[in-house]
Amino acid sequence: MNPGDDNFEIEVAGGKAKVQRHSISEQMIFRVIFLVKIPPLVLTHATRENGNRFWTSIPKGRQSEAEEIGKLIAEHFKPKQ
Amino acid sequence: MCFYNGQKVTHAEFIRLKQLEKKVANFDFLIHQLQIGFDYGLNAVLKPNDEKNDFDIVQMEWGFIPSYLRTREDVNKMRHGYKDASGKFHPPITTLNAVCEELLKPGKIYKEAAVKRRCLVLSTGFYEWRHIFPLNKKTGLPLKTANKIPYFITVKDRGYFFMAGIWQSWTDRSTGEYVETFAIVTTTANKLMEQVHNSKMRMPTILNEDLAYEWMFGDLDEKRILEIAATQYPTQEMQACTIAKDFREIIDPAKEFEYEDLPALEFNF
Repeated sequence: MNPGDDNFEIEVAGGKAKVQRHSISEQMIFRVIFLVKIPPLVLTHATRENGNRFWTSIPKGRQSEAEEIGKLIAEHFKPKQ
Repeated sequence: MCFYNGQKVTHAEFIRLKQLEKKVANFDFLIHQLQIGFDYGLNAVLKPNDEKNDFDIVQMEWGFIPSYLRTREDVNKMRHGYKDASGKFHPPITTLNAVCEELLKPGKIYKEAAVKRRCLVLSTGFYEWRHIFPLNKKTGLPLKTANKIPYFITVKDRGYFFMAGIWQSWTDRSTGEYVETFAIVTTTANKLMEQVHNSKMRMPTILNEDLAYEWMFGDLDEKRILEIAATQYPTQEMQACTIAKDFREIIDPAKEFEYEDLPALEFNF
């Protein structure tokens, strides 16, 4: 990840969303603010028992959104060709 | 082995995520850039402890709920207006702001809170509308319909500042829901806010650090409560810029936006 990318935008269904990256107790979280009337979403990367990584919301309960938005955030940080 | 959102995670990962939840809960509400009063949402408020020697930063609902309201339904009726059984419409009553001149008037809902439960509302800036009345091209007289221009107002060189508030706890008698609610105290507009909020000539009571401390922790008599509540923050220490009319819907609501032919604010006092 680029250290300077603490605020960026992603394209989601229905328009753009603003993403803010924060570090809390050395844990990386992302706060996503939607332009439509959807409450802000906070998400982080977690590890399953089998070692696989997945995106999850903080607090839990918005798993499908976290997985969808998490992919877009990961895409944002992919090295550009 | 524990579960988190239906995903099998280790015990250690579960604890990490739960700890993160607690930290985010404390952190999340401090970074809202825009609070819209009529959403009646949660805001960051500095609330003194019972001993009046320390404070907590807590979330409270903006929109003071009087103790005589019994249920959420009653609250919604007060806030949005309603028709009674005879079809008569009762207009909404707004309790987002408490007018400083009326804080201690007998019979007002804010009196007990102003005496016993004063707090500070954290703000990074606030929004207000300036009413510009264009001139009729034929008559040269001002039109009746105003062109409303939004402004973002901040305190110079301050990342955040304090507004005087009063708070009250409230319990829904039917569901047991408990909330703490608050109103922001307002005073007469200073020279800057007279120009920006020119329809009502009011502004929030912004307190410097000494007055903020006194407002929250002081053992104040009624005269002093009214004096602090009427504090007019110095014009020279505030600034205002125009922002987009759709600021409620855009990513950066405080971003400066210029309007052509808009008369400039007068800053020389």
